[in-house]
Amino acid sequence: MIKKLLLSGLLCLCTVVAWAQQKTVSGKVTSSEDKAGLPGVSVVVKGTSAGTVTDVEGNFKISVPSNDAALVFSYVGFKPQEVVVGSQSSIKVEMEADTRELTEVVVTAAGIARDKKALGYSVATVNSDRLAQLSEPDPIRAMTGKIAGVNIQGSGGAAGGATNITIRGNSSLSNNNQPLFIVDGVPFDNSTFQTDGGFAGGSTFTNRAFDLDPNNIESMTVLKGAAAAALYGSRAANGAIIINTKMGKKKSRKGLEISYSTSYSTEQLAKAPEYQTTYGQGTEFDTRLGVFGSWGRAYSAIDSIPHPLSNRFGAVFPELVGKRVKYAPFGQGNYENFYERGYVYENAVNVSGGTEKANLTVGISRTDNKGIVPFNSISRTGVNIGGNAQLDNGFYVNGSFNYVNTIQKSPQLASSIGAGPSAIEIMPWTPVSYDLTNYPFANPITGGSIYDRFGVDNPYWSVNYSGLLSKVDRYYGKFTLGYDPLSWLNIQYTGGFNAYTDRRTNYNGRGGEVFPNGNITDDNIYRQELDGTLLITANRDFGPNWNVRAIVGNNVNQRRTERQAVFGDGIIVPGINDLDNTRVQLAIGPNLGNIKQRFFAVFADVQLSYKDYAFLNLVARNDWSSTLPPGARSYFYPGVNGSLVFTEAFGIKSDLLSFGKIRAGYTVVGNEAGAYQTQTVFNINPNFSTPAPVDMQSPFSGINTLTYSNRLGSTVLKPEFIREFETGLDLKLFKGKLGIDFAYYHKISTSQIFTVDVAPSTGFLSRVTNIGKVKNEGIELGVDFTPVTLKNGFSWNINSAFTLNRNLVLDLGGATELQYGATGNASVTSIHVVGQPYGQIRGQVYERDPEGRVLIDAVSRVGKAILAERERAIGNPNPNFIWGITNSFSYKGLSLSVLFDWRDGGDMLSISVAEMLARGVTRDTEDREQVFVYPGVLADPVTRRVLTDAQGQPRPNNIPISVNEYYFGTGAFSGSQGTADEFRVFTATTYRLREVSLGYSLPAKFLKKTPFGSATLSVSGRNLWYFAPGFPKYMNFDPEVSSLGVGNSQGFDLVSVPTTRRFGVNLRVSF
Amino acid sequence: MRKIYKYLTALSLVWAMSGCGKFLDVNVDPNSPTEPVLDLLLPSTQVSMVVNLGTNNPNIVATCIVQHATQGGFSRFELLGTTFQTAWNNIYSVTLADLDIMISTAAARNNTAYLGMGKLLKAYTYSNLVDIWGDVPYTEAGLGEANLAPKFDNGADIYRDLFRLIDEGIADLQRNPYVSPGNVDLFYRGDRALWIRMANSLKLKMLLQMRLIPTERDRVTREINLLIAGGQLIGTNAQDFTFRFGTTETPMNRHPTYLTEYRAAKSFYMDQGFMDRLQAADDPRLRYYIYRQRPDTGVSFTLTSNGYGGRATGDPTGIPADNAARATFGLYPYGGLYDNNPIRNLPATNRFLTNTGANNPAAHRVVTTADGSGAGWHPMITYAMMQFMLAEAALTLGTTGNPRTYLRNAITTNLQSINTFTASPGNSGLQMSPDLITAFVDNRLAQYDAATDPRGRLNVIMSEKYIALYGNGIESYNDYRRTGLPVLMTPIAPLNPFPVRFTVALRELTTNPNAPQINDLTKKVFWDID
Repeated sequence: MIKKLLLSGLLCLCTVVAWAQQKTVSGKVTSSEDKAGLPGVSVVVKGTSAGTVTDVEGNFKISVPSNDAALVFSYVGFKPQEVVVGSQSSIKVEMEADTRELTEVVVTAAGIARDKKALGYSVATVNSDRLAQLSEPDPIRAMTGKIAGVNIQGSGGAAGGATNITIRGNSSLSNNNQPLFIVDGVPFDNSTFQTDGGFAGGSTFTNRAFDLDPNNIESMTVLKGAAAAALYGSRAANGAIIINTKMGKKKSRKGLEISYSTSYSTEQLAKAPEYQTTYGQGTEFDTRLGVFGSWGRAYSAIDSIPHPLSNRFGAVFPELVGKRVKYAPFGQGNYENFYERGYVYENAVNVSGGTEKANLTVGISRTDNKGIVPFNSISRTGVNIGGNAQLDNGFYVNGSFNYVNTIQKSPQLASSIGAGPSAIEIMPWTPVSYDLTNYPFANPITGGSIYDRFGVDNPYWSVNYSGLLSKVDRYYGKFTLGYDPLSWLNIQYTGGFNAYTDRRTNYNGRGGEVFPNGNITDDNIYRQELDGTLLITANRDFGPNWNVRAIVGNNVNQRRTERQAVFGDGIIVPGINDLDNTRVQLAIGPNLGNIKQRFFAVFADVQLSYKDYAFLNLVARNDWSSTLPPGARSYFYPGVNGSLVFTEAFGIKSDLLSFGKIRAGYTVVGNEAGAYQTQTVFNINPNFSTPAPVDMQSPFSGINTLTYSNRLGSTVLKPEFIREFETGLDLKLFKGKLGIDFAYYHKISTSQIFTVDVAPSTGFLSRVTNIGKVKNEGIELGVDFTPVTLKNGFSWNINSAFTLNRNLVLDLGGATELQYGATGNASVTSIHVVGQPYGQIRGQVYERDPEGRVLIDAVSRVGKAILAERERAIGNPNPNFIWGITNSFSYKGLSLSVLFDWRDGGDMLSISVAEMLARGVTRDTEDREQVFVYPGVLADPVTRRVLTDAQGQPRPNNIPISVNEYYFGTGAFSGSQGTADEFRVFTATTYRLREVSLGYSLPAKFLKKTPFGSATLSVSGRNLWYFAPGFPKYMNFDPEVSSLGVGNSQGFDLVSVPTTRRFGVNLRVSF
Repeated sequence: MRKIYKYLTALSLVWAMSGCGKFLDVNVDPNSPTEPVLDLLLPSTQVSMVVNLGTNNPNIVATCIVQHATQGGFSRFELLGTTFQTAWNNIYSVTLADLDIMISTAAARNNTAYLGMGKLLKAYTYSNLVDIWGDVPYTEAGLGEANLAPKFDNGADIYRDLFRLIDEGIADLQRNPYVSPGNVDLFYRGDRALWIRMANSLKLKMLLQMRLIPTERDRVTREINLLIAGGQLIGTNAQDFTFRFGTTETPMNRHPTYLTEYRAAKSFYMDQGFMDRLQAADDPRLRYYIYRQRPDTGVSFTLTSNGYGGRATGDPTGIPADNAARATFGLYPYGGLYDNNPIRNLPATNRFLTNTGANNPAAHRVVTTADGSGAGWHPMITYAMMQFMLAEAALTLGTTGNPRTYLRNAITTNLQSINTFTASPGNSGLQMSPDLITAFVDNRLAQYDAATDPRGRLNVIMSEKYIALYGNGIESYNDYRRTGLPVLMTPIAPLNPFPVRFTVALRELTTNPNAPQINDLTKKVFWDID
């Protein structure tokens, strides 16, 4: 494969043809701002197509026909300049930044920098200063609230927790909806692998974009729509995030620059629930040990109770038998003491140096993040080297190599509804009179778990004896070889590789309640991606007004996964978490351990510009994918977009409107299938599902088995398509003080490759097919406003990113609903429903009358509502809108930046909140000496008909229930596991002060006598305040959690690690 | 110059295109075979059939409905669309799908052993589906893409066709040469004579099930007599159509019900009515069926009783932390512990359930995964069941034989079978002596003799069968719907009327346009006639 990729690059090698010129002029272009050389400035002999670009130092050399010739210097973001050559043989040009225009240089396909105004689609860039040194080690989370159209959902406060990101909504019903990551021009795998093959209750696994160090990112460009993504192919159908690392940096300030940055942040629980302090363990004002409810007697009623451990563990702790302990509230302490203080410690050194011809950058960085849960940490060590060189024979090369080692340690933090071990599974509702902090958690004789509750491990025992270790070694990089045979023609080949191994060990200690024998699962994952891209770019002026820039290219790609997991049951010697230390081992797959897929593509991108204000862009691509059936592998997708800078076209020059651009585009993107979806296979030694904690396994009594797959492959699979229309407006108003970037899009995805449920009676549970239609429609509004700029250097800037997306499932190929995703609880899943937004939360509901009133069982008179036979959609996890506002103030070297965001709407099924209500632990349920009558109507539980009075009117519910029953008992209307799931859904609207950073750059005069070229000191804080009004007040719940992590099932909190707050100090110096 | 570039561009494209075909031919799953293997499919279908019918919700819910044991929701008849989802889905997409492939492959390869066994397993599975769900997809089921909306066939029509299928299966097995599958046949180790006995016994079971249909009564009577005359029914305990679970934890081969109970958190309560019935009836099987974790719990876990602490059926109250206090499943048939601890307050008149030979001192324990072996049975058609069925047939239809003799055989062989189970690998407990068995059976026959009318006699037969069927709730559920016997307790707080059929999986309802619109729990299956 590598050979083939190389070969097509090497084919570009060719002879060099020299040509004669009359006079040679050399010179240097610098920036007026910092006097540094500007690389990549276009230098053109006026009136001709002859020209060159400056090198990395800003130097250029050009031949001109005569002394009368004029040179035009142009560079994105700077005011163009024209210089008459005259008799000079050396020309120095200082270019001034053009504040009037959008200064963003946008990196599009294969690293080509383009002026944003030429783009007919929406892009957004976040520069390093808005990503690094903000006490956030996750590069995706660092983007939150900064880009319109992007929806980022963290999975909670675990160190290295997964982060879900979608751009412009979910298009695909079942396939990947995450954007494609491109790092230095090469795809960067962002998979999340779950280790759950049977026994591991699951843990918090990071997604692999975490392997990128925010400190090493130069810029992040988000290509939001299908239009922007056409050249990256199918995988960018959900948008693309183009990351340029500092390794790819072309500009070097001095001969040698060394920069060092360091930051230290402390991390703590953002907010704890507020626990009630009036009542202890029990039910209905009665003390009952072992009950996980805090509805017992008031503390004022009695002084002491028998030691809770004497009840179940009298034999283990004979000294506690007969002992009494103070009957007092420990709830707050139980919760707060469990979570520790964590930290993030980052160090990065970057060295870059170079000459006119060559440039090299080397970096090394280390990030340590210790989470708030004991034994939870993630560390990332990266070594990067990158460089570029201009060879004498006209070729240029550049390349980079990165090695990252990421080690994640985590206790069992699986979100769970009792389906597996999780350290925090029921910790939040530990009975409030049980002193979790101080009572023993391990059996002194056997080392097993000691807890008040059966079937669940003590959280302290769990974090000490069970956990997950993931060791990732990742290698990625690229090389580019290019040549400019003509001033307007460039040929280059980029080969990229990206591979990692993830060696995981998941262990459940011996003596736990769920896995008494203890077990260890080793899961080895290898993933590799190879990518090669040939680009031939022609860029020519035709006359003074017209320019054509055409790219043709090809792209070859291969992805491979190899995986093997082995389960070892029965830990022999506790504490040694090695497979060799288990009694019996069993290879457990997974079923698709080896996967390989490839594609090949050719593409073209042609841009016509007229007078630098009208642009038309045509793109087309044809892919051949290995995952589609032979004969149907080829698919073609075109696009067109254009933009018009109407202020220039119509000569509008005013302070009110200094710049205006309108753009529109229509793009089709095809998408391939996953590997091996075209056939139906047999599975060797399957598991057979049972209600037991462990399924029936093969071999059975030594006999091997085989079963036909439940998934019917499709031999007639076609590619799926997304069609997107987008239009937008860029405006600069009030002398450029107010910038507005507005976009509207309408995206329809059709004939999706979906593994749909089929009637089990067909012999299959699902089949692969082309089905369905999803619409996403939305607006994005980016506003950049500088209301105040004072002469003394003070300025105030407001940057706002507003995202509104509406999605709708239009068709599911005949079915009205399709269920997907699994939460560990049969009734709670994700579901697509025709005519409703994407990915609803499904769960149990109570029967209702036509007016929507809940039917209350009139016969048993316990006040319980009647459960409906069928589960329904009970919540929509999609937010109404997301709005991030950054206020930045700067004065001389001082800068202050404050990011506030508002996520409106979106439902969340929260097991933790529901259970805490049910168990009566927080102040929300403290006022309990009363009765409730739920506002419903009485009905017959058998016929499910509403009972009517003499007048034929429904009889309102008149059965009073205690507060305990309302939340916890059989009458439950909130929380408890007997409750219909609809009462566990809350609106996740959140207002948040996400990020505050105060920085100070030391003035150059202070640094004169030091070895430092510059020094910046900053302090930052994250998640300093939030308010989620949809949740019960004293829960202090932060909905920025997602128990199912990355994927299409969102809106579930099945007891997640709560979010954290960080305070950090950051220092960056350069020599 | 330009030509060179054009040429180069063209060349690189040509390279890519020419290599394209082979380069992209990588979409064959390297992890999984695409061809069936008969001797791997047969054991797979057997395990999945037993797991889905016998250890998943069909049997669990039936067990709760007939009050062999209890769980909050099921004993209150809370049957939802998701209740039988796993079982329904897997019976059709795993068990029956694999059986169909096995049958077609065996037919193509002319392998009569797999062909015959496949048909019999399919007939047994479908007869169960009709019994618990009534109308189910049959003629159009399992066709994959060819029919994505299989119609629901009438249960009576399916039953009719199953008799044909069973006869075909017998004929296939009788063909020579016969190549035995040997040990991969987990039921009968490839012994076709036993399979033929199972086939005839299945027919008898299905015929008896239909006895209330007026138009079928004569045929049922005639054919049962023919089966009796043929002498090819299951005729000893060793010929039982019973599935034996293994003892290994990795790979997990233990009985799933044992797994859910022999751990700290439990899914079941023992049914108070059932335990009381056995205690009151001086039944020695109580020590095999129920294990007491404490000597002193009773209903609602007051510590004033003798350890048989369970719940009455349909108890709506929440679940306290009583996992270590409640009684749990014993040795038979799930592979747990034999309860040899003394029982308080046993009447002095007891002759069979006594404290003779009981542990001294008592050694109750809170059960864990280390207790018992999980080497349980799932009894599907046993010799004892056959004898009970013949007793019912003789009594109600006048078929060949004396109901009293059949009843004697039935109870005797059931107790002997429990003895055999107790002595089987992985299990341990005391044996019931032959004298005790004889005396106990005589005692029950006295009750039979004391009954004055056919209904009373049938009640003795069905009550004894009900106790013997412990572990197979589905058969008891069938019997109860057919005969209304034994008389069960009324659930404390039912949420629905007594279900006369189970709910079809929600997935089937939402994906198959030919499925019924709603689950009607009050619509009787075809043989359920009052």
